Amino acid sequence: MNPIEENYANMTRRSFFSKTALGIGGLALGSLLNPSLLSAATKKMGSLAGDNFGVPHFVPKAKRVIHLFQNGAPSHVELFDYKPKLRTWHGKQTPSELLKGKKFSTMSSQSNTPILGNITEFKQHGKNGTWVSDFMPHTAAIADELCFIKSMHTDHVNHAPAITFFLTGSGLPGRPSTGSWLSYGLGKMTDNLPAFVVLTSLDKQANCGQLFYDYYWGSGFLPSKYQGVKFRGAKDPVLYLKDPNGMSREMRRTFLNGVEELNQMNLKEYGDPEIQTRIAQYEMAYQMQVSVPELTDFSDEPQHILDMYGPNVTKKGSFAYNCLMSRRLIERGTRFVQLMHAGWDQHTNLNTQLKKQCEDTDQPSAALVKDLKQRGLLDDTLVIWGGEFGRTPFLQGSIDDKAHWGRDHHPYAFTTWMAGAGVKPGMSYGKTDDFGFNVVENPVHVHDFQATLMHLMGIDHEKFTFKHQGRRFRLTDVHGNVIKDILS
Amino acid sequence: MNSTIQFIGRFHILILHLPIGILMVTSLAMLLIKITKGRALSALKPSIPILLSLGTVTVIFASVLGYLLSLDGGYAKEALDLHFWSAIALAVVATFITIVSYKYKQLFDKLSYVWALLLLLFVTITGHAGGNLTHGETYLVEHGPDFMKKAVGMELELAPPNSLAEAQFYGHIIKPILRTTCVSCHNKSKKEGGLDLSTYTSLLKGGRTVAVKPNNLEESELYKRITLPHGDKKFMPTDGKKPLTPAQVKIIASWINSEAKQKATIGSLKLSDKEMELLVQETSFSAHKVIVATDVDVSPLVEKGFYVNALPDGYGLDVSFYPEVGQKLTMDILQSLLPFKDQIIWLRLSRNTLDNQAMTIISQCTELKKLYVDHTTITDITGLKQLNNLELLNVYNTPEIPKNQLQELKKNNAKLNVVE
Repeated sequence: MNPIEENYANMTRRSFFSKTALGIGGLALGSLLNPSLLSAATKKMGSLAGDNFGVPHFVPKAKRVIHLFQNGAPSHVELFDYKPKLRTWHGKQTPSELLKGKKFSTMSSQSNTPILGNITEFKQHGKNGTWVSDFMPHTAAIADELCFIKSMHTDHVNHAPAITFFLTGSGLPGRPSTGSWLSYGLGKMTDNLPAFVVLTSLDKQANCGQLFYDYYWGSGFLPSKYQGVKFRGAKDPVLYLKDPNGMSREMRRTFLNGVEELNQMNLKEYGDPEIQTRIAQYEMAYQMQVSVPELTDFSDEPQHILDMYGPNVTKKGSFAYNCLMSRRLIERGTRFVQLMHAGWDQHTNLNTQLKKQCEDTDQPSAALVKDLKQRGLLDDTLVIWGGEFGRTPFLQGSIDDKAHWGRDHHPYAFTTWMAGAGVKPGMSYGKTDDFGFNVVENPVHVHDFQATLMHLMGIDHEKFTFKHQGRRFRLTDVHGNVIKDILS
Repeated sequence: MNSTIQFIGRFHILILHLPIGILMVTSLAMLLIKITKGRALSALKPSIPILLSLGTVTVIFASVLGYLLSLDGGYAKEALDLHFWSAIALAVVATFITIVSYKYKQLFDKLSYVWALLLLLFVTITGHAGGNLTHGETYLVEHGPDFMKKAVGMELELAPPNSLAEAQFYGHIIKPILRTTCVSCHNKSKKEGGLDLSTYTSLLKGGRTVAVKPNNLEESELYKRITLPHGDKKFMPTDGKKPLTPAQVKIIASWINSEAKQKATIGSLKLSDKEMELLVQETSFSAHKVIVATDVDVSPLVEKGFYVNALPDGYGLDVSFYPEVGQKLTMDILQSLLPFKDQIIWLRLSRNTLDNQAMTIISQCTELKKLYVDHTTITDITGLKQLNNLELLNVYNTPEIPKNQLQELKKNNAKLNVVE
C-alpha cells in the first residue's frame, strides 16, 4: 500500500471536507477535468479494506525461518564443494576460457591467477557420502539432515550489493528484506516479541571490515513497522528496558495509553502510516520490557543443551549465543530470525582465519539444527546457512607467500545449505565444474532461492506484490523459479 | 473448394432470419384474423398472399445459400440431413400455400389456421435443426433444468464433492479439462475426426481411432495426440489453440492408467502420492474433509490472544498461543476454541501453563492433525485417543505424562508420530 493511498484510506470524511482547500467544488472540478480520477480513487479505497493478499496461497511447509547468514562469503571449495582437481592444478594458471568475460573484484590481479589447491581435507559423511571439509566436523556429522545447494550463483561481486541482493532481491539498498516481506504478508504470531529479529556477530579479531548496514533488514517501501528489530550483541540486547526508579508498570501503561491517544489524534488528522508504526513500536517496547528479560535469561537451559552449542554460548554477541537465542526466539513466536556473522572474507589470511571462523560457527550451527530436531521444531522451521557469494578457485596473493594466501570474491558458484521444513534432507543439488568455477548442472540463482523460500512459507512469489511508485514490486523482481526438486 | 461459393454460402446465416421472421408474422396474423373472425388485423388480410410470396422467395433463396454453405464441410451428417430436408419441405409447403392463397381464395380462407400451423411447424423444425447444427445440440438446454438435459441425452452436472476423495475422476476432473480444451471441436454435431468428447460414452466409443483404451496409454490416441511435440501436425489441440498444461496431461494419463472409469471416485482408486499431490494442486477440491468457509470469522480467537492462520483451499485452521510471561492459558481462553473444533487442524500450545482440564477441550478438536503440548505440565493424555486424524504429537519436555499412556496412544494410531 503506498503512503498516499493509505492516507486516503485513513482520512475521515470530516477532515477531508475541512482540509480540502476548495472543498467539494474543487473535487467536482477535478472530476470534470478527469472523470476517471474519482472512480479510480474510490475503487482503490474499497479494496484497501479487505486486502489480505490471498496469503498464504497454499498450505505452508515452513512457519519460521532462521537464516544463518555468513557475511563475507565462505569459500565453497574449502568447505562443501570438494574439488580434488584444484590440488593437481595447484600453482598452474587458471584456464583462460574460464576467466573470459568474467568480472571479479578489483582486489586480485587479473593477469596472474594460479589455481590454489584446497587447504582443507575432505571426507565423506552420512548415508549419502556427502563430502564435507574437516574444518566443519559438527556440520559433517549432521550431513544427513542437510540439503546442500552447490549450484548457487548471484549477480553481484562485492559484499554490500551481493548481501542486499540476497536478502532484498535487489543490489541497491531500499527494497524490503525477506523477513519484512514475510512479516508483512503473514503477520506476527505473537504480540510479545517482534516478528522479525536480527542478531549480529563478528569474528574474534573483528578484522574483516564488514559492516552490517541497517538496510539489510530494512522494510524498504513497506510500512516501517515491518523492519527487522536488531538485538545488540552486548550486555543488554535491548536497551532501556527497565523502567526508571519510581515508575511502576501501571504508571508506564497509563503513560503509554496517553501517548497513544495523542498519536491516534495525529494519525486521524494526517493519516501518516509512520504514526501507526510509532504506536505499534511503543506497544512492542512495552511488551518487550517483560518478554526480553525472560528470553535472554539462559538459566533455564540445562547444561547438556548449553554444551551442545559450545563454549561460547554464554558469551553475549557470539555466534553460538545468537544460535541459541534464535531457537529461543522462534519458540516464543518470532517468525524470522536473521542471524548475521561476519569474518569470512579471507583475501589474505585463508591459512590462519578460515579455521578459526569454522570453529566459531560449525558447532553452534549444527547444534541449532540438532536442538530444533529433538524438540520437533525442525518440522516447520527452515534453517538456512550460507553467504552472499563464493570464493575464487584461484589464488589471491603470491603463491610463495603461504601466510598470506587468499581467495577473492566469486559470484559464479557457491554453496548454501538448508535444513528442516519441507526441504529434502541428506541431499546435494546442483553441480559445479572440476574447479568449482562455474555451475554445470541445475543452477540456482538467488531469485530462485528466494522463490523457493517463499514457496515453503506458503506464498506464491509471483502473486505477492506491493505497489509502490506506480509499479508492483516483489521480492524476486520479475525472476525466480521454485526449485521443486529439493522440496520434500 | 471454390472460395466464391464459400463466400456466398456464408450469407446463409444473414438471410435465413428473413423467412423465419416473415413466415412467423404472416402465420400468426392469419391465426389471429381467423380466431377473431376478422375483427383484428382485417386491414392486413389483403397483404397476406404478398407476405407469403415474399416468405417463399426468401426461403428458397436461404435454402440455396444453405446448400452452398454445407459444401464447406465440418458438419455432422445426421444433423445436416435433418436441416437440409426440413428446409426443402418448408420451401415446398410455403410454395404450395402461396399458390393456394392466390388461386383458391375460398379454400385458403376456410382452412387458414391449417396453413398457418403448417408453416409454424416447418419453420420451427428447420430453424431449430439449423441452430443445433451451429451451436451443438446441447447449447439450448445447457443451463436448463435436469429433465430437459436428460431428454436430449446430456450428462447431468455433478454436484461438487465435499473432498477430493469423493470427487469422481471422470466427472469432476477429466470432463472439465476436456470441456475447456477439446469439446469445442469434438462434440455431437461437430465431430472432428469422428470424435465426440462431450460425454463419457462417446469418449470411450472413440472416433476413427480408439481415443481412450483403459490402462493403455500407448493405444489411446487421445493421449498420443496431446503429448506430441507442439509443432507436430497431429498435435492436439490444433490451430494454435491453448494446449493442455503438463499437469493436465499427467492427470489424464493417471485417469487412463486407473482404468478410465466413469464413476470411480478418487478415494476408491489407488493413486500414488505424486498423483494425489498433483490432484490437490490442480483441483479446487479439498484434500481433507474439513470445510472452512474462506471468510470464516476467527476474530473471537484472535481477541483471546490466539494466532490464527486460515490455510487455503479449506484445509483448516492453524492456531497457536504464545503466552506472555507468567500468563496462564485459562479454561476461559481455551473454551473459545470450541466453536472452531471442526476446523482446527494444527494446534500449538507449547510452553503454556495448562492444566489437565485443557485436555477435555483439546480432545474435542477431532480434526486435529498436529498437536504441540511440549514444555507443559500435562499429566493425562488419554483423551487424545479419540483424535483419529492426529499425525503429530509433540510432548517434548512434558515429563509428567505417564509412559504407558503414550505407548497406548501409539498402539492405537499407527500413523502417529510422537516427539518426546
